[in-house]
Amino acid sequence: MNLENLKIFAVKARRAVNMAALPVVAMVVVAVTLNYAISAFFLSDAEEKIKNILLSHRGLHQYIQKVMHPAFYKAREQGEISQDFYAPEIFSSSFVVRVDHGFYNEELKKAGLPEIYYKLASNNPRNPVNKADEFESSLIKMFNENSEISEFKKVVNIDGKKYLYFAIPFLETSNACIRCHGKREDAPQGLQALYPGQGGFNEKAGVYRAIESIRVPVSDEISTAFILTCSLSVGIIAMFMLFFFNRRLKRTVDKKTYSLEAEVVERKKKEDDLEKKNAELERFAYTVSHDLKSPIITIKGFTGALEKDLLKGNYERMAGDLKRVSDAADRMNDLLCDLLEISTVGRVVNTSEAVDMNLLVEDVLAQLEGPLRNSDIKVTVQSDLPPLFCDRQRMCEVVQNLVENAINYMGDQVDPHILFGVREESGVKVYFVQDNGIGIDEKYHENVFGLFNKLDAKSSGTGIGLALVKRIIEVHGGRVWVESDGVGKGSRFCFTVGRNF
Amino acid sequence: MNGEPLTILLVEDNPDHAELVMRNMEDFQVANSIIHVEDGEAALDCLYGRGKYADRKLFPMPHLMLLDLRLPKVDGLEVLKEVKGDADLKALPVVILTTSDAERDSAMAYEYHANSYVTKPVSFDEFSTLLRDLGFYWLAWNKRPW
Ligand code: HEC
Repeated sequence: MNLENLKIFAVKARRAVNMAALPVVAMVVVAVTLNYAISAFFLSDAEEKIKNILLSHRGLHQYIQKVMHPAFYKAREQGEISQDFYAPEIFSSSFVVRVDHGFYNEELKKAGLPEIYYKLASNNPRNPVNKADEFESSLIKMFNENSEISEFKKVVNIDGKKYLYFAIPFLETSNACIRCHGKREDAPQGLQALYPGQGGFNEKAGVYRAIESIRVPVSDEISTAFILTCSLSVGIIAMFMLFFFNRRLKRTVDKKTYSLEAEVVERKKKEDDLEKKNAELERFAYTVSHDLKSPIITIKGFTGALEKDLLKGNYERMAGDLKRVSDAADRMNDLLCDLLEISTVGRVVNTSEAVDMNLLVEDVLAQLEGPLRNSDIKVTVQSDLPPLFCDRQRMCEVVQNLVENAINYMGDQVDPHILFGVREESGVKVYFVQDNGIGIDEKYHENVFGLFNKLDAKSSGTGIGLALVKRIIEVHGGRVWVESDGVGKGSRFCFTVGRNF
Repeated sequence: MNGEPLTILLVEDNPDHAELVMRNMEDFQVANSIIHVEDGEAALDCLYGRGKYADRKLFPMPHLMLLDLRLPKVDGLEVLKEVKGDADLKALPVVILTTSDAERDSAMAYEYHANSYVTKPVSFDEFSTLLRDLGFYWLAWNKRPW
């Protein structure tokens, strides 16, 4: 039991996972790609910003060295400036750029924008503010050892904020640079005076003596993008799941609805059947009480009359009255037998079999030979009657009752005739007993099958015959009805059973 | 009696019961004649004076109808409905005299305006008394419509 439940649960869970897996995997892929794309977009945006700054710095370097320096040297040669004059504010491009970047950051700050770290980092700085930190130092080393590497970038986290860090080697030290960065004693007098110590001196040509170290913030954009893509993906996944689950739910509900509807229909049918049965039972009880009470009234009535006549010595009608009493008692007995008979029909005694109707009809007619001969009735039986799947004994009763009925209601026909035959109606074999007797008005076509219903009070029989026929045929899943063109035109009792050959 | 010929129409399919009714009626001499028919169709024919009941001298218009309910051909209730729905016939007193004491039958009978509904008593004495009282009430005490 538990194991069974577990199995069912496992199957259900697997199905749910299978169903949910596809959209989830798809969405995760989409989310990762999207997030990557968005981050890449913002990173490349930051990178471009960095490159812009570096290039504009480079431009300033170029200006100082290619425009300002020649102009200065020219003025010095022409004696307008003293030979020993040196000022880093004018001469050193790195100084100018650093100060320029300082002003730039101030402007950024004023504009409410984040400041941008920038440093021309060197291991051997002339100005201590240019001293490379440990990381920058390692990068200088890296660039010098691997000449093919031209840049370094990395997303770094500082105080919980994301930055794009970027570094490129500064200009390679050339012979021109050595004039001021070589031996101290070779450098211009003014420079020597301004920068005591060995910082920035003793450099060699052909190496990178510094890197441009820069870092711009990207944190806000990336986390926004991340949150955005995440919520978007979650939303889409949720929608997918909802869609799938809704579809599944709808299917389940639909299935349930179908089965419920079918159940309702079936229950309704059962209720109808029950109602029909109840109505039939009620009719039955009513008929039985009525028809059994009738002979009692007769018996009591005529015994009373007999008693009175006896006292009066009035003997002439006593014989007749006695006969009435006796007949009523017989009638009661007949009714009781018939009732017993009809109540047993519901339980078919024998199982159904393929019955040769030719033989069956022959047997029944042999049994009814007496009454048929007395009424001088000619009987015709259609040849080659197809076999019928039924309870043989019950079918005998059906045929017998129908033929008896035909005999009873033959009337004053001079040439009485009964025909037993079969015809086909939309694939169903319809057996019939036809007579040329008194016929039945259409309004009684239903009534004739009622219990103890007789169309003619004087006709013989208890009136149970056709009710019995109806009951047997119904038990066989068939149908019985009467066809007649009206009074005096004979009648045709037709029946089918549930299964034909 | 005042010498006026009084007729009862007895609609009864059971010949024994009809005999019992007729004997009692004769004994008490409440009516001059009793017309006995065995089914509803004949009852209507008799009332409308048609078919074999066309001769009003032989089959005069009855002053009382004793009607059984379960009848061959046309059912007692249908006869009642027809009579009470007919402008000329509806005044005719109709007494339902039946074996059935089913609630449904009496309810239906009154629904169709039966004048009275009595169940045939099993006891012979009661049967006699009932018929005597019925006859006297409807034909002597009761003011007849015609
Ligand atoms: C006219 C002299 C002069 C020449 C030529 C010169 N520099 Fe400099 N350089 C300086 C001075 C002065 C400073 C320090 C300025 C400061 O206070 O930041 C400096 C600073 C630097 C720095 C910053 C690190 C440090 O040592 O403080 C780098 C890197 C640098 N120079 C590289 C070069 C390169 C590469 C060349 C050749 C392309 C070059 N310099 C040519 C004078 C010179």
